[in-house]
Amino acid sequence: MVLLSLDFAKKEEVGFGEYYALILIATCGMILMASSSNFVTLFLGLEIMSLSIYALTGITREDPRSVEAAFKYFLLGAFASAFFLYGVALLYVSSGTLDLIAFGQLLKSKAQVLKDPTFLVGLGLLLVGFGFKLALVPFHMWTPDVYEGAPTPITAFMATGVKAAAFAGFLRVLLFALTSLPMKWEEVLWVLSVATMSLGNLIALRQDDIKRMLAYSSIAHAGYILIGIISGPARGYSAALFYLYAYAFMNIGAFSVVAILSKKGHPNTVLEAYSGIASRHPLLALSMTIFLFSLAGVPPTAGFMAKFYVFSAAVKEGYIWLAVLGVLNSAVAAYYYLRVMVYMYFREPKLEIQTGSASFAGVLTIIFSLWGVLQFGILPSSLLALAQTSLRLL
Amino acid sequence: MGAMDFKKELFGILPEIVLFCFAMVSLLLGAFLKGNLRRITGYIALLGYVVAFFVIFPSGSEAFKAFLWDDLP
Repeated sequence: MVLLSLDFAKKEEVGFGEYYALILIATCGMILMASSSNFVTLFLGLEIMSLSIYALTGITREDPRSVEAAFKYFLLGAFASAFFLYGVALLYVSSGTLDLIAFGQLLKSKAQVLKDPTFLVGLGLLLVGFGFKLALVPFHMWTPDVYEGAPTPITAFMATGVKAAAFAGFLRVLLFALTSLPMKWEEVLWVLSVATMSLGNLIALRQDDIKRMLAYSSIAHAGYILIGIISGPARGYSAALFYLYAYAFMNIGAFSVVAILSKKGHPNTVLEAYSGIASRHPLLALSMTIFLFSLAGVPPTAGFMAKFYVFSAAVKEGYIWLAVLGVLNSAVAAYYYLRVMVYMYFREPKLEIQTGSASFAGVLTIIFSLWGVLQFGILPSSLLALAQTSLRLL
Repeated sequence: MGAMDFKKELFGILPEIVLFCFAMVSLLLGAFLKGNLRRITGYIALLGYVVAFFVIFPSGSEAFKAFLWDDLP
């Protein structure tokens, strides 16, 4: 992502130190979220990450779309943070602790806490806070506008880094604090997952802007990852982590191609701009095809293995209908990914479109992403082992 | 908190400390450098990630663990 930014910063003349500093600080927040063992540290990580991302979204100050996206993201993000914090406060009122492990032990020993309305409202608000960061339906409204308006490398950062950190934080809360939750929380997540996959994919079908399409696709992918989480810690959590790793490679790759094809004053994000790209930039078109195949879940890419692990975990844990709905959604998603390929290979350009050219850093980003997508699609065991190790470290 | 616990706590947040230090260096250089030289801030950020990933993250941290916990009995 930083490699891609080297190219972008030159193209958009954003060579300021704060750009990279904010990326590094956001990463600090993400690591803090993924390693926190306390609700306050989790919130602190969330805010360090979010505040940096708000600023990064509006870093191209001359572009009104970027400023609008930053403002929208800031307002909605502030609301979501407030929900999260109110949730944490109410959970503290009902339990008397902010430590995730102590909270989990309390739930095991004192069953009456689970019937406390303060606890239930707190849990609901916490879920809303996470739902916003994970872009789950119905908390997804900000995603398309922000992804479209933000500079493309930052969109890639949001779609992968922010999502991964939020899922890691969510997994920590589920693993430590809410392990002994007797109520059927899976049913709530089941509904959220199906709604997220279906709505994300159905709206993506109608998009003519590739960044908006990838934004809705990222919403749908959050739904697939949620299937892994619903499937439980035995098989599902490692499958969800594998999905996150694979998703990072394929999504950064796809956004890299979008960023390389853009030019200052010519974002080239409408699908029409991709007409005939295969004849002008054959290698870029081929790379984009591989990333889109991976996003669609076609073998032998990492996206296929990710979907395979998540759906098989769901089937093994008895969530057969969820897996069936996931597969159906994947079939729907294939349509809009293939549509981009049709534009690239089979359409003649109607307009004279000025596209950017690939720099060394941009090419390196694409090669790295291609390596990830193909390596973990053909030989996924090393990544699965890493996912399982990460889960143990959580 | 004993010295050992402190070392363990410190080890736990080392990636954040490293990334934060690199962020500050990048910020400072961005403020002082002009024109194309500002691209150096990007390479500083890259270096930050490389250091955080290969030296401190758990997969590559054995040397650091040995360095930090060499007073283990």
